[in-house]
Amino acid sequence: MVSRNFAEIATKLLPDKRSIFVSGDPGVTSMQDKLKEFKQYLLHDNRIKQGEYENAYGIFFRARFNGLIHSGIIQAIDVKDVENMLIEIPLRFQEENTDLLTMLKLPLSRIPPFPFFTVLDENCPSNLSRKESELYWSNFSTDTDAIRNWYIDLINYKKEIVSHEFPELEPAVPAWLQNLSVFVLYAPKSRVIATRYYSSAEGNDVVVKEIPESIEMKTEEIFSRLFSLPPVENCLFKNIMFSGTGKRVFSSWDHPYFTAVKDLRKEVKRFNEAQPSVFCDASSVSDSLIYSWTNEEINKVRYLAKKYSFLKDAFQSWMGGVQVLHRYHIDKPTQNRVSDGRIVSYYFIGPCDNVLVERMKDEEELRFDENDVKKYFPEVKDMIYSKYTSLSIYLKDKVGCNF
Amino acid sequence: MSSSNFLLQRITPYGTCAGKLSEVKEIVGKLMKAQILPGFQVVATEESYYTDHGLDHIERVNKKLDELCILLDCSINELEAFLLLVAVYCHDLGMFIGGINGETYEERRKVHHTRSAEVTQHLNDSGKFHLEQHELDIVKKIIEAHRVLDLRDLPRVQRLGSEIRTRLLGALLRIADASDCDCSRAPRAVFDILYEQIPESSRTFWTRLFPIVDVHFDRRRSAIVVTLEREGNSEEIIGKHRSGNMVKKELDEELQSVDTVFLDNNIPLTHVDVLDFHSTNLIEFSQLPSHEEYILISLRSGFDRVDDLIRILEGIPNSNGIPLIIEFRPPEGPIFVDSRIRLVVTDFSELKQSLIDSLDDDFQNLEMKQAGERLIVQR
Repeated sequence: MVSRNFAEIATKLLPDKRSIFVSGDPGVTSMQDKLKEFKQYLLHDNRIKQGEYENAYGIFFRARFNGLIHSGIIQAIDVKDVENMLIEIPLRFQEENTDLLTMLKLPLSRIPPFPFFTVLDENCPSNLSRKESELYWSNFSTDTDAIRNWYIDLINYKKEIVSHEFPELEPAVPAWLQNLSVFVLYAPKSRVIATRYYSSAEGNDVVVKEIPESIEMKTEEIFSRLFSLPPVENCLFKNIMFSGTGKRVFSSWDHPYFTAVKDLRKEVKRFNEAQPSVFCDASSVSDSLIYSWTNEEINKVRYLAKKYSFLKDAFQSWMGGVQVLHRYHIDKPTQNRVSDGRIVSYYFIGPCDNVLVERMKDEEELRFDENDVKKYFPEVKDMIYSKYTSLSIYLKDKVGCNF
Repeated sequence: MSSSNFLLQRITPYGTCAGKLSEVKEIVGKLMKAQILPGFQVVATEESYYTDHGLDHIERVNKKLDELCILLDCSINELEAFLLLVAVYCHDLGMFIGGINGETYEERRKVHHTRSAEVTQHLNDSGKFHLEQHELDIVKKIIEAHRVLDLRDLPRVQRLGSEIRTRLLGALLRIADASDCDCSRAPRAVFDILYEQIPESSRTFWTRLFPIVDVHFDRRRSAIVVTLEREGNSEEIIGKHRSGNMVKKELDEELQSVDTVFLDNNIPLTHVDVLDFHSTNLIEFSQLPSHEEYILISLRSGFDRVDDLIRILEGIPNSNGIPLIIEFRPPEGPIFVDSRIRLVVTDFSELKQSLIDSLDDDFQNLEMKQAGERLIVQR
């Protein structure tokens, strides 16, 4: 619960503003969702108007008080109000001897899937995660060993991906970035795996206990009997799963890297849904932007292939020279309408890297055939892939805008 | 029956093509209205249990072709327009022939593209149509290409006075035909009247189209956009999601089969988007809905006892609980449905046991994810 003293501080903090405070560290997305839920309820009761319901301005903070982390959102009227809060809130916390850990202006910018999710989606065969998962499980001699390593790898992969690929996501998943104590109860006869995640003052630690007999009683009781659990307020998540199929409960789990990718994809989606929509105009596309995005894409593929051996095969064709030809066309602007256009891209294996971008005046000129390719890249070998899409979709991927 | 505008406008009025086309329209119209021509006993129209493959369907396919050609700036010459329109009128004639050698409904459906081409040949041979043999050959190829056939087996370009892009025409008909998959193709009233006569295996072809409000092409999204109406009680919500997912998968498959042809011809249709009818939000069937906490029940692909599942869930307290997600496993899925049921589960083993007892092997997994205890102050 929100500790008594912090509740007092929270209610004194800018008392005329709409706000929400939570004990614990659920992250900015959960807090935005909770505030939205609360405002939905107020709107339904006619206690606020549509304008206030849609207002996304505010401040998100995390603060440590009496050794515990507390989070909150205080809603602002507009950008200027947000700026004022940025000055006022730290002072208030200082007066109350509260350690302010994070303070962010809301709304936040949406996170685009490019380049990380894009290169994985476009290059990894659909059966890769299954294949790698089978190889992964075959590395361990006992089930408890396998489960323990899986959790350790999952936590490490999540931390690694967030810090390298999505630093903007950090305030949304603070629990995954701190030290964790994970307690896993493994009951193969009952085909149950139950897990508790706690924040920890020391390093990451995963304890797995196997119960050979069938379990009938509530897992809550078994947990407190088998483990010396940290205080309840440190508990971040509880998870329990029963598998009706497979010889081993965890045999259907993906390789921890792909599970981490899947979980973070969900977090990015949640994060983006909590932010207001952004619309992009195709007229913002330029040769230099496409050029730099393509180079970023090539570099990301190579970085991932070098870093993770299990991605090497899928990305093999990118490891030598990659020659790319983009042709794009932007439609004539129409008053009061967002501009669109089309882009055709061909990626080839070649002797060295070469990216060409051409803006065409006429849409008919987008088309190109084998002779065109030979003209531009006389030494290309196989094609990696080709794509034809609208600039709206292209921008949705590159900058995270939506429709 | 009104005709397509964009394609029809490509054909010179009162010219040879226009004459031949109106002949085709008249004969096909008669055939489909169950007027069997003298000496033409192979055509029978007793099958009324398939979803619409008749004149209304032809009309809608024509409209879809118009949309495709206009929206996607797809230039079509006169001869191409003529051959494509003849193919549109004849592409489902094979559905109107009675079964051969005891074929089932399903078997007939599977071969109807080749049989439609045969019937078209027969109609021309018997003097009902007056297509030149080289025209007929291309029309038959387009008809056969409207489903299953690998489009690479068709010539990319044929010369017939002017250039005919046979492969492109086949691809256009395939996508226009596949995209006629909204509720107007399976009228609910007709289904209710014929319910007892419609074979069990055919019913799913009807019911899956009921929640599909619209299918159109969106150049901006580079997508075929399906609009799904998914309101109702939990059982209906689950059923409608599964229908939407099935339609999406089929359209995705069709689109994949023409992707190189569309790329060669600069037609920017690359994927299928399903939108919610009420909110217009994108529905992503294969992604776990983004709740912080959830209960996930995974079921076998093709699970058909949703009513039993709902009965179990109704016995569990459900106010202010955790959102319940239902997953259907591959090959039908992975598909995740936010059931809008919220459950308060105090005893996981009890829920697990009642699912095992009632659903046997259909029940695959149960997972519950909860956040740690938190108290919220809001004002």
